[in-house]
Amino acid sequence: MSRTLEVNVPRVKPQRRRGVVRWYRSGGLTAVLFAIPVVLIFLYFSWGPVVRGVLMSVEKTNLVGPALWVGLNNFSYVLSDPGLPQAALNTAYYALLGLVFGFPVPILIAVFVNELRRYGWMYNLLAYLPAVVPPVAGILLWKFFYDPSSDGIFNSILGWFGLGPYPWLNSEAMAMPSLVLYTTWAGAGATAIIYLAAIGGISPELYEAAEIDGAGIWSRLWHVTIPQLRNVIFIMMLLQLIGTFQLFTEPFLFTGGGPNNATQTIMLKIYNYAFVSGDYGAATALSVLLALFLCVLSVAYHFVTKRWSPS
Amino acid sequence: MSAAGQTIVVAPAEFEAIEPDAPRKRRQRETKERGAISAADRRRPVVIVTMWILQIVMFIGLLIAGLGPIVWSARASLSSSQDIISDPMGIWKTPLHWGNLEQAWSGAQIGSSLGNTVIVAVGSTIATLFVSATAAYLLSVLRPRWSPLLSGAILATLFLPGVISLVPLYLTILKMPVLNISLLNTFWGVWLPAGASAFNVVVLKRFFDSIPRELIEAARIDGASSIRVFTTVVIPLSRPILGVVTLLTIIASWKDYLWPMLVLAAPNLQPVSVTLANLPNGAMPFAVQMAAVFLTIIIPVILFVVFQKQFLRGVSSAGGLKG
Amino acid sequence: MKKRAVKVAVLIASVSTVAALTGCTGAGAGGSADQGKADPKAKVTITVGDEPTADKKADRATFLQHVQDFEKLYPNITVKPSTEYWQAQTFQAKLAGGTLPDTMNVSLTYSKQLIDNGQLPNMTPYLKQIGLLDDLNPLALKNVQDSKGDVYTVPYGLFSVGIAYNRKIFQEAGLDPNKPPTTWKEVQQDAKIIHDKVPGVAGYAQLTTNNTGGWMLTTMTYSLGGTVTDKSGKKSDMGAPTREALQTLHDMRWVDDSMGSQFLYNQDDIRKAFSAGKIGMVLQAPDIYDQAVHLYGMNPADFGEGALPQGNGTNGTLTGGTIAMFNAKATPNQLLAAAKWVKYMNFEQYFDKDLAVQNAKSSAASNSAVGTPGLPPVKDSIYQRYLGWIKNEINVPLDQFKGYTASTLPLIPEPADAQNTYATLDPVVQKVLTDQNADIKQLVTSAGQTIDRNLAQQR
Repeated sequence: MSRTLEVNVPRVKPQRRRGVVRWYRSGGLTAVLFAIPVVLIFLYFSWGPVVRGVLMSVEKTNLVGPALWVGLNNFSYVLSDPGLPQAALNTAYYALLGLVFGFPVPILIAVFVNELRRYGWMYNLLAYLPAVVPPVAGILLWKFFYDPSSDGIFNSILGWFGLGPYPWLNSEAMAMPSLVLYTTWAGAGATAIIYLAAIGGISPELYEAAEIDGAGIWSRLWHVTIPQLRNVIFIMMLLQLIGTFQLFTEPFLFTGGGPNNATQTIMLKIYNYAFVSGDYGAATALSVLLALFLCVLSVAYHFVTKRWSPS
Repeated sequence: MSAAGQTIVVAPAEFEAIEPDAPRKRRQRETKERGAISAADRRRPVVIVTMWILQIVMFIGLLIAGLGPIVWSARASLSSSQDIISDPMGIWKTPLHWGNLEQAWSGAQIGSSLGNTVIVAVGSTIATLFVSATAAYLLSVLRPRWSPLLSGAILATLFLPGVISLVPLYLTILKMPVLNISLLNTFWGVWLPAGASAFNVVVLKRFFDSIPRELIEAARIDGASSIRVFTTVVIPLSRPILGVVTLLTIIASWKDYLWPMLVLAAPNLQPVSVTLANLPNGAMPFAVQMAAVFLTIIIPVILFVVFQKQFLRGVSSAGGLKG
Repeated sequence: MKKRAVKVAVLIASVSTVAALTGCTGAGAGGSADQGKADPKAKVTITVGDEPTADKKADRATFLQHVQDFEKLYPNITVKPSTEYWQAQTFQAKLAGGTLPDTMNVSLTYSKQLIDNGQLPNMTPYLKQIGLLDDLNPLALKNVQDSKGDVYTVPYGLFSVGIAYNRKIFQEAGLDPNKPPTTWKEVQQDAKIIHDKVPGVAGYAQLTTNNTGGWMLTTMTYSLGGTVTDKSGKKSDMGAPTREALQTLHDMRWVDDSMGSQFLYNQDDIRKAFSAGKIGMVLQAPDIYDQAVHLYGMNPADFGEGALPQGNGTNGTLTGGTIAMFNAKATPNQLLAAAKWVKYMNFEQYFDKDLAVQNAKSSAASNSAVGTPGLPPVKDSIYQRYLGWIKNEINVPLDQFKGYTASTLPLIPEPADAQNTYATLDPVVQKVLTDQNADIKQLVTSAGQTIDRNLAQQR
């Protein structure tokens, strides 16, 4: 994934070729020492279980008795699921909505709070509050907010302004945006604090230099702040993407994938295969397909950014 | 921005801007010197008016989004089940039921669950930091010949959906291969798997990649061992990113309920998230469930308000993360 | 050369370690090989689920007392109670890990699925051995048997689906609260009257999400004389009755507008809304009463339950409720002991007057419903005798269940591959309720094709 930094490798001067000693001198033992925790932890809790899971994708297993080898049956089964294309589209739609509407919110909050001379902490605190609401509780609360009758909470409030009542989760068009609204609410505050920390680290000289060059406030934000945040933005985007493909608690608890499959996501399908139908083979087969797809996607992403980046 | 860092670090383009602060230089810098808006700007009427409007709009927006749900759940926790369900916006005028809070506190054992949450969060954070920092150091600085293999293997797990390994992971916890011990109903069963986070390894490695190599070289020339370089150069320089990883880990462990529900099956070990997820299956009237929800929200909120200065400073420690 | 050798070595080492950590995937199935060879005298320890949590003090005390009494009765059996209960999200993992209790309660809707997946042990020999099999209600047994007639779980808290209604809303609408609708025509009429006379209330509401949409569409189809899958269990078999059910829903929703505005209901949410007086009528088994009154604070006087409305004549209904399941990884001795425990906990009271009264008293003390009408888990004569014993402890207003108790609808078992079939039908119901122009015929046809596909994959 990342290019290695050959220039910096602390090369030890060539030694006499004496196998183990040379290996030891060149830091081989230290390297092994540093590798022990990660290798052990990943073997036990990531690679091992994943391989075990992948094996199940070519089996028919009820998790009780011996498993039956079924080859690629599970794969053809999940691929021929008539609901799969829509689930894939929904997942992509969720990712897009999240990126376009949800993603900039914490950046905007952080940029704004950073410009405040006073009371900044108050804004911070308010923005952070949703992060302490556990998801199960948050979804329980928001179900009341999204109640489609005119005495639901959102509809009551909007009703004061003569708006609504809106169907929220009950309409194919509004269901997915409603989920994104919830996830943005739940996640924005904590993310904003991370951005804020990053913005606080931007050197004032950069702004001064830009100001001397005649850049206005917006231009300074656009040409100094945002580029300086590139790294954090990348991290957060990665995190959000991973989150998108793990998304199931929200659609599961809010809509169960409805209405008319409008919030049926790939993860929800995997979940249903595994835990509702008890078909672990199908669930792991779809997981493997999803992982392969994401692998292709990230390789493509790598090459595209490589070409664009002026190195 | 130190020019020296730029020339040495040939990191991928999207990272070239990250660059940890040299400790000497940054230590005394004030965080709030200025932002994009300069002191001169702040005297212009347009800016003053715009800022005022923005402040008011943002304040109202955040007040509704941040405090609204909590205030509503506070009131709901003091209402009757019927009132909450039949007219959720009309509960303000209904009679108060103070007993709900007491019932929720003793019934759902919020106190001990919150304690468990802290134990889970602290342990998960330590495991995550230790594993991902040592791994990132190995992959970024020590770089043995087999490191591409290792980093490939770690990256490969980045996008794998958790469901694929939920059952096998559970089987692993029940009977750790080779060791033949069970981590069921021990906090280790939650702590250790938290350490296997490819995301954190990637993030830390990227950050370590950008540490000016001459700092490391200098320490080496002074005779520091690899371990010393790690503890005295790399870790102190990485405090901001470690702060971010810590925050993300704490939030993740605060919210996770599925895995703890499996591993911490004994009710006296369960963190708040699990307790809440189990509530609807209990015999508590709905209003008491709402009271339990409110208690689990309000206690961390109070802690956050009291310690918010320290907390925020901790996150943005050492001058923050330079983008 | 050397470099490559190292790489290969590392690769082999890591692959083999992963393989070692992966371990053997297929654990041996318990019980199936040496079935029925259980020794009733052998020393054995069993774990039993559903121990009431600390917040239900009276229930918990009673439960633990039962454990003691049971151990006294069978000195060779040690019972370890556990608060473990059925959770969809963790069930498969715990099943694979063998960490489920040897017996615990499960909702009946999962029974068929677990049997079809081969995830349950065959209990026939053990139930025979303790003489429980003959006392069980033969009607209820249909749902817990496989095609060969072997019994896998023990049904003990069964209900057939009926229609729950709010008597207060009926009164406000000028309807007779003692006359719940008995046909779908009447449901539609009553719903419209409620909608017209009582503002803000849905005349009728329908379950739609987390597979309950398909569950209730199946129930409606049965009530209109139809089927969902055919006898062989290999093909879907939906026709005019399913379309009629959907057309009825469509008309209530779009012509009469008598179904309110919420069309994404799961079981919890619809029970909440019904209890709070937001719904006039809803398809529910009588076991909703306990939750409605005790969890959601419904006034008992407002509750009413009628039999499932029918099409022309008497067609039938679906069952729901609670069963006891057993752990496939338990040993034969444990399964026998677990069967004894289930019998002791849930059936002894039908044969022992003192125990019946004592159980009823402690349930009433911890605010649980006593005497909720339902399908008797035992033969009717035994059940009637039991009801006589606990007459004074019944705290459920039986008069308000008359519409339900007076009828004797045939019980039709669930369709093949029940949960998957229901999942396929969920969006069909949702579509009809959220899209005025939904093409019912086409929806049913394509759902049928999906069900066929799933059934073909199954076995």
